Amino acid sequence: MRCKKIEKWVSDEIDGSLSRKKQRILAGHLANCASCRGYKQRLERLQGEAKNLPLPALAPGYWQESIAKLKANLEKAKPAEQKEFKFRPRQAPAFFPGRRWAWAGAASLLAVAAGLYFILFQARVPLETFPVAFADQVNSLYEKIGDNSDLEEEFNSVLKASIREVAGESDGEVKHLLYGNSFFIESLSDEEVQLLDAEISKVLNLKI
Amino acid sequence: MQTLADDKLIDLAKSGRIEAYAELARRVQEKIYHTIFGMTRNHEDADDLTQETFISAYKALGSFKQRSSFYTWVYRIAVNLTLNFLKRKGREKGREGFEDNTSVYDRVEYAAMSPEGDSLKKEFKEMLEEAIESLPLAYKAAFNLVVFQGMSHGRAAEVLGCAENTVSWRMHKARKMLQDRLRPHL
Repeated sequence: MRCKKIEKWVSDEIDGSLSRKKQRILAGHLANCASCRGYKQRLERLQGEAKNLPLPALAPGYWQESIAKLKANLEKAKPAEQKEFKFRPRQAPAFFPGRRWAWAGAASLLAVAAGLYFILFQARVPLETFPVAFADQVNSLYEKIGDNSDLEEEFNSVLKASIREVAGESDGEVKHLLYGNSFFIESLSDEEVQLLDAEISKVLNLKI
Repeated sequence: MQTLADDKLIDLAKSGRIEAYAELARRVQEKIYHTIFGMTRNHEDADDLTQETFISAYKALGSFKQRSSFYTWVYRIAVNLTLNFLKRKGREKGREGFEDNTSVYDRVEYAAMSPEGDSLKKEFKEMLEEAIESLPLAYKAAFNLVVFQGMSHGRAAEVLGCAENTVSWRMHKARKMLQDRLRPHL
Protein backbone atom coordinates (compact mmCIF):
# COMPACT_ATOMS: atom_id res chain seq x y z
CA MET A 1 0.00 0.00 0.00
CA ARG A 2 1.43 3.34 -1.05
CA CYS A 3 1.70 5.94 1.70
CA LYS A 4 0.31 8.71 -0.57
CA LYS A 5 -2.94 6.80 -0.84
CA ILE A 6 -2.95 6.24 2.90
CA GLU A 7 -2.59 9.98 3.52
CA LYS A 8 -5.84 10.56 1.63
CA TRP A 9 -7.52 7.82 3.68
CA VAL A 10 -6.28 9.41 6.91
CA SER A 11 -7.99 12.63 5.91
CA ASP A 12 -11.20 10.80 5.07
CA GLU A 13 -11.09 8.94 8.37
CA ILE A 14 -10.79 12.17 10.33
CA ASP A 15 -13.92 13.43 8.55
CA GLY A 16 -15.75 10.17 9.19
CA SER A 17 -16.13 9.33 5.53
CA LEU A 18 -13.87 6.28 5.25
CA SER A 19 -15.55 2.93 4.66
CA ARG A 20 -15.17 0.16 7.23
CA LYS A 21 -13.17 -1.95 4.82
CA LYS A 22 -10.70 0.86 4.19
CA GLN A 23 -10.53 1.60 7.91
CA ARG A 24 -9.31 -1.95 8.49
CA ILE A 25 -6.70 -1.66 5.74
CA LEU A 26 -5.63 1.72 7.10
CA ALA A 27 -5.23 0.36 10.61
CA GLY A 28 -3.09 -2.46 9.27
CA HIS A 29 -0.88 -0.04 7.36
CA LEU A 30 -0.49 2.37 10.28
CA ALA A 31 0.60 -0.44 12.54
CA ASN A 32 3.59 -1.00 10.28
CA CYS A 33 4.35 2.52 9.01
CA ALA A 34 5.78 5.09 11.42
CA SER A 35 5.78 7.79 8.76
CA CYS A 36 2.03 7.50 8.20
CA ARG A 37 1.38 7.27 11.93
CA GLY A 38 3.24 10.55 12.36
CA TYR A 39 1.23 12.09 9.54
CA LYS A 40 -2.00 11.01 11.15
CA GLN A 41 -0.96 12.44 14.51
CA ARG A 42 -0.10 15.79 12.92
CA LEU A 43 -3.44 15.92 11.11
CA GLU A 44 -5.32 15.09 14.28
CA ARG A 45 -3.58 17.89 16.14
CA LEU A 46 -4.27 20.23 13.24
CA GLN A 47 -7.93 19.25 13.35
CA GLY A 48 -8.16 19.80 17.09
CA GLU A 49 -6.47 23.19 16.94
CA ALA A 50 -8.56 24.33 13.99
CA LYS A 51 -11.78 23.42 15.74
CA ASN A 52 -10.69 25.45 18.73
CA LEU A 53 -9.80 28.58 16.83
CA PRO A 54 -11.36 31.53 18.60
CA LEU A 55 -14.51 33.12 17.34
CA PRO A 56 -15.02 36.85 17.48
CA ALA A 57 -16.35 38.23 20.73
CA LEU A 58 -19.75 39.47 19.75
CA ALA A 59 -21.57 42.08 21.76
CA PRO A 60 -24.52 40.88 23.84
CA GLY A 61 -27.69 41.15 21.81
CA TYR A 62 -25.75 41.01 18.55
CA TRP A 63 -27.98 38.33 17.01
CA GLN A 64 -31.20 40.15 17.88
CA GLU A 65 -29.80 43.37 16.46
CA SER A 66 -28.71 41.54 13.37
CA ILE A 67 -32.24 40.25 12.78
CA ALA A 68 -33.69 43.72 13.40
CA LYS A 69 -31.26 45.14 10.85
CA LEU A 70 -32.23 42.38 8.43
CA LYS A 71 -35.93 43.19 8.80
CA ALA A 72 -35.23 46.85 8.07
CA ASN A 73 -33.22 45.87 5.01
CA LEU A 74 -35.96 43.51 3.85
CA GLU A 75 -38.55 46.27 4.07
CA LYS A 76 -36.44 48.19 1.60
CA ALA A 77 -35.81 45.15 -0.55
CA LYS A 78 -38.19 44.06 -3.24
CA PRO A 79 -40.83 41.71 -1.77
CA ALA A 80 -40.35 38.09 -2.70
CA GLU A 81 -43.87 37.61 -4.04
CA GLN A 82 -43.43 40.40 -6.59
CA LYS A 83 -40.59 38.55 -8.15
CA GLU A 84 -42.47 35.29 -8.01
CA PHE A 85 -45.64 36.55 -9.64
CA LYS A 86 -44.16 39.20 -11.88
CA PHE A 87 -45.96 39.23 -15.20
CA ARG A 88 -43.75 38.37 -18.09
CA PRO A 89 -45.28 38.20 -21.55
CA ARG A 90 -44.45 34.93 -23.16
CA GLN A 91 -42.52 34.79 -26.35
CA ALA A 92 -44.74 33.76 -29.25
CA PRO A 93 -43.45 31.02 -31.54
CA ALA A 94 -41.32 32.39 -34.35
CA PHE A 95 -43.87 31.57 -37.05
CA PHE A 96 -46.60 33.62 -35.32
CA PRO A 97 -46.04 37.37 -35.03
CA GLY A 98 -48.26 37.34 -31.95
CA ARG A 99 -50.50 34.91 -30.14
CA ARG A 100 -53.60 37.02 -30.68
CA TRP A 101 -53.15 36.81 -34.42
CA ALA A 102 -52.70 33.07 -34.11
CA TRP A 103 -56.00 32.72 -32.26
CA ALA A 104 -57.76 35.02 -34.74
CA GLY A 105 -56.39 32.95 -37.61
CA ALA A 106 -57.47 29.72 -35.99
CA ALA A 107 -60.98 31.07 -35.38
CA SER A 108 -61.25 32.17 -39.01
CA LEU A 109 -60.12 28.78 -40.25
CA LEU A 110 -62.67 27.11 -37.98
CA ALA A 111 -65.46 29.35 -39.30
CA VAL A 112 -64.49 28.63 -42.91
CA ALA A 113 -64.33 24.90 -42.19
CA ALA A 114 -67.77 24.96 -40.55
CA GLY A 115 -69.19 26.88 -43.52
CA LEU A 116 -67.74 24.43 -46.00
CA TYR A 117 -69.10 21.53 -44.00
CA PHE A 118 -72.64 22.89 -44.12
CA ILE A 119 -72.37 23.76 -47.79
CA LEU A 120 -70.80 20.52 -48.97
CA PHE A 121 -72.31 17.93 -46.64
CA GLN A 122 -75.39 19.21 -44.90
CA ALA A 123 -76.84 20.39 -48.25
CA ARG A 124 -77.11 16.77 -49.32
CA VAL A 125 -79.76 16.18 -46.69
CA PRO A 126 -82.84 17.17 -48.71
CA LEU A 127 -85.00 18.47 -45.88
CA GLU A 128 -82.28 20.91 -44.81
CA THR A 129 -82.53 22.68 -48.14
CA PHE A 130 -86.13 23.66 -47.49
CA PRO A 131 -87.05 27.06 -46.20
CA VAL A 132 -86.84 26.93 -42.44
CA ALA A 133 -90.59 27.05 -41.67
CA PHE A 134 -91.39 24.49 -44.34
CA ALA A 135 -88.57 22.23 -43.19
CA ASP A 136 -89.83 22.45 -39.64
CA GLN A 137 -93.27 21.37 -40.76
CA VAL A 138 -91.95 18.46 -42.76
CA ASN A 139 -89.65 17.42 -39.94
CA SER A 140 -92.51 17.57 -37.49
CA LEU A 141 -94.57 15.40 -39.79
CA TYR A 142 -91.82 12.86 -40.21
CA GLU A 143 -91.24 12.75 -36.49
CA LYS A 144 -94.90 11.95 -35.91
CA ILE A 145 -94.87 9.17 -38.45
CA GLY A 146 -91.57 7.73 -37.34
CA ASP A 147 -91.36 4.01 -38.09
CA ASN A 148 -95.08 3.47 -37.85
CA SER A 149 -96.11 1.71 -41.10
CA ASP A 150 -99.81 2.46 -40.54
CA LEU A 151 -99.04 6.14 -40.44
CA GLU A 152 -96.88 5.80 -43.54
CA GLU A 153 -99.82 4.20 -45.28
CA GLU A 154 -102.05 7.03 -44.08
CA PHE A 155 -99.52 9.53 -45.40
CA ASN A 156 -99.50 7.82 -48.79
CA SER A 157 -103.25 7.51 -49.02
CA VAL A 158 -103.79 11.19 -48.16
CA LEU A 159 -101.33 12.20 -50.83
CA LYS A 160 -102.80 9.85 -53.45
CA ALA A 161 -106.29 11.11 -52.70
CA SER A 162 -105.08 14.68 -53.05
CA ILE A 163 -103.35 13.95 -56.35
CA ARG A 164 -106.34 12.05 -57.68
CA GLU A 165 -108.54 14.93 -56.72
CA VAL A 166 -106.38 17.42 -58.60
CA ALA A 167 -105.17 15.36 -61.56
CA GLY A 168 -107.43 12.34 -61.62
CA GLU A 169 -104.45 10.00 -61.81
CA SER A 170 -104.68 6.38 -60.82
CA ASP A 171 -102.86 4.79 -57.86
CA GLY A 172 -100.47 3.16 -60.25
CA GLU A 173 -99.36 6.42 -61.78
CA VAL A 174 -98.56 8.04 -58.40
CA LYS A 175 -97.01 4.92 -56.90
CA HIS A 176 -93.52 6.34 -56.94
CA LEU A 177 -94.50 9.66 -55.38
CA LEU A 178 -94.80 8.37 -51.87
CA TYR A 179 -93.58 8.82 -48.31
CA GLY A 180 -89.83 9.15 -48.00
CA ASN A 181 -89.32 10.52 -51.46
CA SER A 182 -87.45 13.70 -50.70
CA PHE A 183 -87.85 15.17 -54.17
CA PHE A 184 -91.57 14.70 -53.97
CA ILE A 185 -91.80 16.11 -50.47
CA GLU A 186 -89.85 19.15 -51.58
CA SER A 187 -92.41 19.82 -54.28
CA LEU A 188 -95.32 19.92 -51.83
CA SER A 189 -96.87 23.23 -50.90
CA ASP A 190 -97.16 24.46 -47.31
CA GLU A 191 -100.88 23.77 -47.44
CA GLU A 192 -100.33 20.19 -48.52
CA VAL A 193 -97.86 19.59 -45.74
CA GLN A 194 -100.28 21.11 -43.24
CA LEU A 195 -103.02 18.87 -44.57
CA LEU A 196 -100.82 15.83 -44.23
CA ASP A 197 -99.89 16.87 -40.72
CA ALA A 198 -103.53 17.34 -39.78
CA GLU A 199 -104.47 13.92 -41.15
CA ILE A 200 -101.62 12.18 -39.44
CA SER A 201 -102.44 13.99 -36.19
CA LYS A 202 -106.01 12.84 -36.44
CA VAL A 203 -104.81 9.30 -36.69
CA LEU A 204 -102.59 9.86 -33.69
CA ASN A 205 -105.44 11.67 -31.92
CA LEU A 206 -103.34 14.75 -31.78
CA LYS A 207 -104.27 18.30 -32.57
CA ILE A 208 -102.13 20.52 -34.72
CA MET B 1 -43.78 32.16 14.31
CA GLN B 2 -41.27 30.39 16.52
CA THR B 3 -43.36 27.25 16.68
CA LEU B 4 -43.93 26.94 12.95
CA ALA B 5 -42.04 24.39 10.87
CA ASP B 6 -39.56 25.59 8.28
CA ASP B 7 -41.78 24.62 5.34
CA LYS B 8 -44.67 26.65 6.67
CA LEU B 9 -42.39 29.62 7.30
CA ILE B 10 -41.04 29.34 3.77
CA ASP B 11 -44.58 29.42 2.36
CA LEU B 12 -45.41 32.47 4.46
CA ALA B 13 -42.16 34.15 3.51
CA LYS B 14 -42.84 33.49 -0.15
CA SER B 15 -46.13 35.31 0.23
CA GLY B 16 -44.23 38.34 1.52
CA ARG B 17 -44.38 37.81 5.29
CA ILE B 18 -41.13 39.36 6.49
CA GLU B 19 -41.68 38.09 10.03
CA ALA B 20 -41.72 34.51 8.76
CA TYR B 21 -38.53 35.03 6.81
CA ALA B 22 -36.88 36.73 9.79
CA GLU B 23 -37.68 33.66 11.88
CA LEU B 24 -36.05 31.42 9.29
CA ALA B 25 -33.02 33.67 9.28
CA ARG B 26 -32.91 33.71 13.06
CA ARG B 27 -32.72 29.93 13.13
CA VAL B 28 -29.68 29.75 10.92
CA GLN B 29 -27.93 33.10 11.28
CA GLU B 30 -25.23 31.97 13.70
CA LYS B 31 -24.11 29.13 11.47
CA ILE B 32 -24.17 31.33 8.42
CA TYR B 33 -22.21 34.04 10.19
CA HIS B 34 -19.59 31.59 11.44
CA THR B 35 -19.28 30.00 8.01
CA ILE B 36 -18.59 33.38 6.49
CA PHE B 37 -16.34 34.40 9.33
CA GLY B 38 -14.39 31.17 8.90
CA MET B 39 -13.60 32.26 5.36
CA THR B 40 -13.07 35.97 5.83
CA ARG B 41 -11.72 35.97 9.40
CA ASN B 42 -13.09 39.47 9.72
CA HIS B 43 -16.14 40.39 11.75
CA GLU B 44 -17.18 43.41 9.69
CA ASP B 45 -17.02 41.46 6.45
CA ALA B 46 -18.84 38.51 8.01
CA ASP B 47 -21.55 40.81 9.35
CA ASP B 48 -22.08 42.53 5.99
CA LEU B 49 -22.00 39.27 4.04
CA THR B 50 -24.46 37.62 6.42
CA GLN B 51 -26.92 40.44 5.79
CA GLU B 52 -26.27 40.26 2.07
CA THR B 53 -26.82 36.51 2.13
CA PHE B 54 -30.23 36.77 3.75
CA ILE B 55 -31.33 39.64 1.53
CA SER B 56 -30.21 37.79 -1.60
CA ALA B 57 -31.98 34.66 -0.42
CA TYR B 58 -35.15 36.64 0.30
CA LYS B 59 -35.15 38.17 -3.16
CA ALA B 60 -34.62 34.75 -4.72
CA LEU B 61 -37.11 32.96 -2.47
CA GLY B 62 -39.64 32.71 -5.28
CA SER B 63 -37.22 30.54 -7.22
CA PHE B 64 -36.45 28.28 -4.23
CA LYS B 65 -37.98 24.91 -5.20
CA GLN B 66 -37.28 23.27 -1.82
CA ARG B 67 -35.43 20.37 -3.39
CA SER B 68 -32.83 20.91 -0.68
CA SER B 69 -33.38 22.24 2.81
CA PHE B 70 -33.61 25.98 3.32
CA TYR B 71 -30.37 25.90 5.30
CA THR B 72 -28.42 24.13 2.59
CA TRP B 73 -29.75 26.61 0.08
CA VAL B 74 -28.78 29.60 2.23
CA TYR B 75 -25.39 28.05 3.00
CA ARG B 76 -24.78 27.82 -0.70
CA ILE B 77 -25.69 31.45 -1.24
CA ALA B 78 -23.47 32.46 1.66
CA VAL B 79 -20.48 30.49 0.38
CA ASN B 80 -20.88 31.80 -3.16
CA LEU B 81 -21.21 35.40 -1.99
CA THR B 82 -18.18 35.02 0.24
CA LEU B 83 -16.08 33.45 -2.48
CA ASN B 84 -17.05 36.27 -4.84
CA PHE B 85 -16.28 38.80 -2.16
CA LEU B 86 -12.85 37.32 -1.52
CA LYS B 87 -12.11 37.20 -5.21
CA ARG B 88 -13.11 40.84 -5.55
CA LYS B 89 -10.92 41.77 -2.66
CA GLY B 90 -8.03 40.03 -4.29
CA ARG B 91 -7.50 37.93 -1.24
CA GLU B 92 -7.11 34.69 -3.05
CA LYS B 93 -3.46 34.00 -3.27
CA GLY B 94 -3.75 30.44 -4.47
CA ARG B 95 -0.92 28.02 -4.20
CA GLU B 96 1.65 30.77 -4.83
CA GLY B 97 0.11 32.83 -2.08
CA PHE B 98 0.13 29.84 0.18
CA GLU B 99 3.89 29.64 -0.15
CA ASP B 100 4.16 33.35 0.44
CA ASN B 101 4.43 33.95 4.13
CA THR B 102 3.33 37.56 3.97
CA SER B 103 -0.34 37.70 4.87
CA VAL B 104 -2.84 40.50 4.61
CA TYR B 105 -5.09 38.59 6.95
CA ASP B 106 -7.00 40.66 9.48
CA ARG B 107 -6.04 39.14 12.75
CA VAL B 108 -8.61 38.30 15.34
CA GLU B 109 -8.04 40.13 18.58
CA TYR B 110 -6.99 37.15 20.66
CA ALA B 111 -6.51 39.17 23.80
CA ALA B 112 -10.20 39.93 23.77
CA MET B 113 -11.36 36.51 22.63
CA SER B 114 -9.17 33.91 24.23
CA PRO B 115 -9.26 33.50 27.96
CA GLU B 116 -5.85 31.81 28.04
CA GLY B 117 -2.94 34.11 27.55
CA ASP B 118 -0.42 31.46 26.66
CA SER B 119 1.82 33.11 24.14
CA LEU B 120 3.02 29.92 22.46
CA LYS B 121 -0.46 28.67 21.97
CA LYS B 122 -1.53 32.05 20.73
CA GLU B 123 1.35 32.12 18.29
CA PHE B 124 0.49 28.71 16.94
CA LYS B 125 -3.17 29.63 16.52
CA GLU B 126 -2.18 32.74 14.64
CA MET B 127 0.02 30.69 12.35
CA LEU B 128 -2.75 28.18 11.85
CA GLU B 129 -5.20 30.93 10.98
CA GLU B 130 -2.73 32.44 8.56
CA ALA B 131 -2.19 29.06 6.98
CA ILE B 132 -5.94 28.47 6.61
CA GLU B 133 -6.36 32.00 5.30
CA SER B 134 -3.74 31.30 2.67
CA LEU B 135 -5.45 28.20 1.32
CA PRO B 136 -6.84 28.48 -2.21
CA LEU B 137 -10.49 29.49 -2.01
CA ALA B 138 -11.98 26.17 -3.08
CA TYR B 139 -9.97 24.35 -0.41
CA LYS B 140 -10.70 26.96 2.20
CA ALA B 141 -14.44 26.72 1.54
CA ALA B 142 -14.41 22.94 1.87
CA PHE B 143 -12.20 23.07 4.98
CA ASN B 144 -14.46 25.65 6.56
CA LEU B 145 -17.64 23.65 6.02
CA VAL B 146 -16.20 20.30 7.07
CA VAL B 147 -13.99 21.32 9.99
CA PHE B 148 -15.64 24.43 11.39
CA GLN B 149 -19.26 23.61 10.54
CA GLY B 150 -18.89 19.87 11.06
CA MET B 151 -20.51 18.96 7.76
CA SER B 152 -20.08 15.57 6.13
CA HIS B 153 -18.40 15.47 2.74
CA GLY B 154 -21.80 14.84 1.17
CA ARG B 155 -23.47 17.85 2.78
CA ALA B 156 -20.49 20.09 1.98
CA ALA B 157 -20.63 18.89 -1.61
CA GLU B 158 -24.29 19.85 -1.75
CA VAL B 159 -23.50 23.34 -0.46
CA LEU B 160 -20.51 23.80 -2.74
CA GLY B 161 -22.27 22.33 -5.75
CA CYS B 162 -19.61 19.73 -6.46
CA ALA B 163 -19.12 15.97 -6.12
CA GLU B 164 -18.59 14.36 -2.73
CA ASN B 165 -15.29 12.95 -3.93
CA THR B 166 -14.16 16.45 -4.88
CA VAL B 167 -14.71 17.58 -1.30
CA SER B 168 -12.79 14.55 -0.11
CA TRP B 169 -9.80 15.43 -2.30
CA ARG B 170 -9.95 19.11 -1.40
CA MET B 171 -9.90 18.23 2.28
CA HIS B 172 -6.95 15.92 1.77
CA LYS B 173 -4.99 18.54 -0.17
CA ALA B 174 -5.92 21.34 2.23
CA ARG B 175 -4.68 19.29 5.17
CA LYS B 176 -1.53 18.38 3.32
CA MET B 177 -0.80 22.04 2.62
CA LEU B 178 -1.48 23.02 6.22
CA GLN B 179 0.59 20.17 7.55
CA ASP B 180 3.51 21.03 5.27
CA ARG B 181 3.40 24.65 6.34
CA LEU B 182 2.99 24.06 10.06
CA ARG B 183 5.04 20.90 10.35
CA PRO B 184 7.82 22.45 12.44
CA HIS B 185 5.21 23.44 15.01
CA LEU B 186 3.11 20.28 14.99
